[in-house]
Amino acid sequence: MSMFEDIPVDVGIIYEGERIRGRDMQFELGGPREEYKFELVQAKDLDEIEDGKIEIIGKDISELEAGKNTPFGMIIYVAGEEMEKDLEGVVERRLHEYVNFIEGFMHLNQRYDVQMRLSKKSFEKGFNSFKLFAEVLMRLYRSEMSFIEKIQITFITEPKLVEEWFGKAMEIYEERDARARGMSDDEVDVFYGCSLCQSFAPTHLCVITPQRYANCGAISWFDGRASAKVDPKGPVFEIPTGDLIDSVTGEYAGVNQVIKEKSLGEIERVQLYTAFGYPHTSCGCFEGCLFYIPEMDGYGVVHRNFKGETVNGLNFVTISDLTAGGRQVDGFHGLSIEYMRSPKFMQADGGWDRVVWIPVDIKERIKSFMPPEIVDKIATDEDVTDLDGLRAFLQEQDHPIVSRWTAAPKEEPGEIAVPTLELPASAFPIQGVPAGMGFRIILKNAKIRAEKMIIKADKG
Amino acid sequence: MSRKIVISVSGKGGTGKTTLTSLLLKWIIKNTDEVALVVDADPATNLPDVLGVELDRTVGQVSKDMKDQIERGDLSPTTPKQDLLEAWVFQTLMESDRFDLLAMGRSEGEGCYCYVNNVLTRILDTLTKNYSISLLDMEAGIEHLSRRTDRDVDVMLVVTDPSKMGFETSKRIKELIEEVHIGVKKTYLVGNRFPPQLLDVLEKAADDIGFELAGNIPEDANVQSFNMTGKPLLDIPDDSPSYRAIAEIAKKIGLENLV
Repeated sequence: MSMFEDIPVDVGIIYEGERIRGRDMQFELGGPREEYKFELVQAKDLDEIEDGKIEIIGKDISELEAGKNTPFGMIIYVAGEEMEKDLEGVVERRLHEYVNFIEGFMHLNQRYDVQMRLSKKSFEKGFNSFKLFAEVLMRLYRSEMSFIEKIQITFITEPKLVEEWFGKAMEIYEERDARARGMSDDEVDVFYGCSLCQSFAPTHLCVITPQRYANCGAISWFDGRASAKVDPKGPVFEIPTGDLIDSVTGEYAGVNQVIKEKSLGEIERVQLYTAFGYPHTSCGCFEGCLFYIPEMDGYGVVHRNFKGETVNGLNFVTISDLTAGGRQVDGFHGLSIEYMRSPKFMQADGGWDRVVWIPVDIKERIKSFMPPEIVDKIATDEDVTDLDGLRAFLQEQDHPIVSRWTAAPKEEPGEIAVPTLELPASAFPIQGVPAGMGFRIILKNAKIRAEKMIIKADKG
Repeated sequence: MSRKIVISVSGKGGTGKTTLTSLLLKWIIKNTDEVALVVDADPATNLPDVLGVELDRTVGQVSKDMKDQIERGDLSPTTPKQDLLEAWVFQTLMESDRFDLLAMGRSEGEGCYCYVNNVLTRILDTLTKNYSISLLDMEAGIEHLSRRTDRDVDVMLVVTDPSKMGFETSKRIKELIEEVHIGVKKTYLVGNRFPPQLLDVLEKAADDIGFELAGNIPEDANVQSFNMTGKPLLDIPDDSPSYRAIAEIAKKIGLENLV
């Protein structure tokens, strides 16, 4: 790259993935043996920074002891008319690539866990000052991120100052994470799809949004973005959201299109925040499973590590078998625990007001994210062990579900386990049923024979 | 040596995969200037002991850590897990003078490892590219083949002892390689502890299965006593019968031409 002619080492994408062994390194900046280390990007106003300024507080590369690790901090100030606070994280993430582009420079991890190594070889070639390091980074940033008009970099190796700045940096990361947690599905125009589980659930596709993690709980929207960038044709890929069809159920034209394609036509529509109608399909390795409890007209959630019986006498395996394998089953679907921390959780069905039972283990993990007034009203395995107990508990705690029972009087519980389901009208388009009206189907000792049965999707 | 080579050792449990891996490593150390990457992909993680090195953590353990932190919601929402795991895996890498060792360990714990494993594959690919020679001691049996952990392997050595089961497993491995289209460039059968009078049986078995025979590691009192006393196999005398056989095998599989 001619852009780096005056730099004593090569710079380019071919050096990405280069690993520097401990025995071959000149030194390590940060890393697991150092308590204090960080890299931080800060957005500033245009008049607050001096473009191209490089500051080194403490020892420079040539003065650092060979073969050792050192506390390290790096602050990159950027400014531009279009630069926003929210872009800080994006600019910061580029460091991982850019530092790795430098021949003999390894960058691992990020933020307060950063670990960098410079090879002896590159040091001997003359890469001996943070000034050179800064030059490379500045040029890469300017050439690839046009919204950066001014850039200034400070390196800190003076231990006391690294420690001092570390504290400040931690606060900034936390603020940033809090903003990310508040990020809504409505703010983005790209979701991510994950087809990793199609090997055993061929019609399943996880739709990963800022407010709905993959069912396995492992892949956030940010992970999706990172994976798709590294391997765009891989199992995790972009889904342009397309038109928003329904913001309450979470139905998007772009999602439907991709689902149809990836499920080979098996699944035509998916609504992200509901268990009825067109619920999200379930793979086989979801963290938890939501299940409808007809007797309560509410939901329970059970997670994989729950060894006992649920309040209706089932276990995780039995419940998950009802929906696993890429199926769309009314009232049941796999989910991640993280999705239960989301404001969109079961939004279309009434959210937390419809949840009547969860294991205490889940409750402990997520209660700070639940609406505070509902926390004590939801029963756990420690509170109740059967449906009679549950009903009494819910009444005693005045759970919002109780008002649903009185609103729609139902038969005394017993063998009839089918109460009024508030199904979206589109789920069962039966002629003569006005849209929006609930209806009930009860089959008792039924034997059904049919020559032919046609079920059509409501095109309206 | 300019090109990179990935050698994978597989076979039925107890047939001598770890012994073959260790002796091959000894040969590489003696005959090349390369630092080899050795991957212990057997959940039993015996290789560190046999090589005489101590290992802090396995990849399985850091994957489990990641799963646990995911469950607890401890991870920063914006940090891509692939970057975290990449750093954590690198930290488990044990460096010694002439080789680096990575132990896969057991993927413990319940739940879904699809994503973590997918990310791991990429991380290991990247790591492997840093070494001219990578030596993979696979787990017993054939499971790893269907998981395609052996992709991009140049040479696969299938070890068998003088037993019907050893042959059967070797045969199954051959079939699976074809079934799942793993890009193994060359596959060899290696006998372990075949007495001279059974060598023709070994040759015939290789023929029947359709593998080229790379050689046989004879019964060796040195190997036994080193294993018994826990001394690293890398220190076995050069004139040990097993090590002399390794030199032949290295030649046969073309390792000699690469150095």
